[in-house]
Amino acid sequence: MSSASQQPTSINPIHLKNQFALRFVRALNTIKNQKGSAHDTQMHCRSRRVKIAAYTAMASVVGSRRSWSRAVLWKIRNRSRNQDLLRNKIMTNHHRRRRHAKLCMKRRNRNSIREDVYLNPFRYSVQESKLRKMVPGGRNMDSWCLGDEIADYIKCLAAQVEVMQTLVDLYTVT
Amino acid sequence: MDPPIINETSFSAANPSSYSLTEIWPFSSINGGGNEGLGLKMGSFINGFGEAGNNRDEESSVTEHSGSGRKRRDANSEDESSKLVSTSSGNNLSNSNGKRTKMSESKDELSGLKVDGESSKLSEPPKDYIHVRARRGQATDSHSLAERARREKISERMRILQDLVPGCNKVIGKALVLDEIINYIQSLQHQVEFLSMKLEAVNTRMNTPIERYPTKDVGHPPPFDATGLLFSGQESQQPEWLHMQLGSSFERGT
Repeated sequence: MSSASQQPTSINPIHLKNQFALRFVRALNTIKNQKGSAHDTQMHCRSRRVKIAAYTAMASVVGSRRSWSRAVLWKIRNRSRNQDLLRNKIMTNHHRRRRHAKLCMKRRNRNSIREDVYLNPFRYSVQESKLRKMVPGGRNMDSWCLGDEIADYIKCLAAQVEVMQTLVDLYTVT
Repeated sequence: MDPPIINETSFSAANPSSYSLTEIWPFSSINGGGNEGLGLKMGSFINGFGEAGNNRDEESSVTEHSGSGRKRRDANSEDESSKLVSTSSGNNLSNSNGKRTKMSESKDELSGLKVDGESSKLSEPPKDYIHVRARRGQATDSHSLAERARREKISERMRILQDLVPGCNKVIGKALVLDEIINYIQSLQHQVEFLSMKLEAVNTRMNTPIERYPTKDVGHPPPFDATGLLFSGQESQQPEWLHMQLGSSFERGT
């Protein structure tokens, strides 16, 4: 109840787009510079890196105000930290992933037991589970926060898509 | 109300009302059936006995004037506070002990009345916290009210989400709205993926890196400052050469 009652601090959309464009272009430049050393990487991997850069830029613009951005930042930080470990343990990666999935399921069940069972469109439905999967950090999110977080996430994603589309248009035209 | 004024009115000003003192203020004896009198005079008690510390001095002054005040006491006044003081003086003269006990009684009753007032004041503010008002036929207990407020909040949030997602206003039903939201988020994420692929291709194809600061060569891709200003809409602040460089793409972006 308390988390729902607090008013979210919304960013000015123009500021959001500006900051995102700044960070994203910077990240693109660094990717380009790094790519000179590892030119033989596949296109799939490179596009994935660009995508991750875009998400990171957006999450860092939003900062720690939102739980979805916090989840993204946390994931990326862990990813960069664990990258060497993962590289060493490629063989055990599969098991690890399975274990992670199990853990998530457990956490999920615990959450659903703990929370109240009242009429809430974000609860106990196929749509809710889908939404939780789609929004980063949605698994551990309170069902009260979920609506707010989804709204903010949609806003940021729309802004991100807009900026990226503009960049693509600009660079393909010239 | 100030005690000295009360004393003056009770002793100097002759009050031409008819009813006797014992009817309204039957305090000559402790058990003298003073319930009605107490009920009538409670307001005046609050005024008259609000300053309990000053009562002693008044009483002493009353005893000094007792010789002249005796007869006037029988002729009562209309003002209830003046009655109160006069009766207190009379009681003080006749039997001081009885008066003391009555004072304590009245103080007790006064405190009780004050407590009642406080409790009524305390019972009021929680009504301000609940912003939901029960309409006719709706349950009014606190659980139902809280539940109703919660449901209103949820529906409000759903409305916000509906406004965010284009083409979601016409959809009726929460499940369908959620489906629509899910589709929208998925499409946005796919778009991000697609655009990142495109950008990657552009990024690799380009010989010169995407620059943050403008270069004056025409063939170069538009600098970052252009994109930054493009979203802020501050076209007037841009220098001339930026307009020349960006051309049509600038207008489309804005």
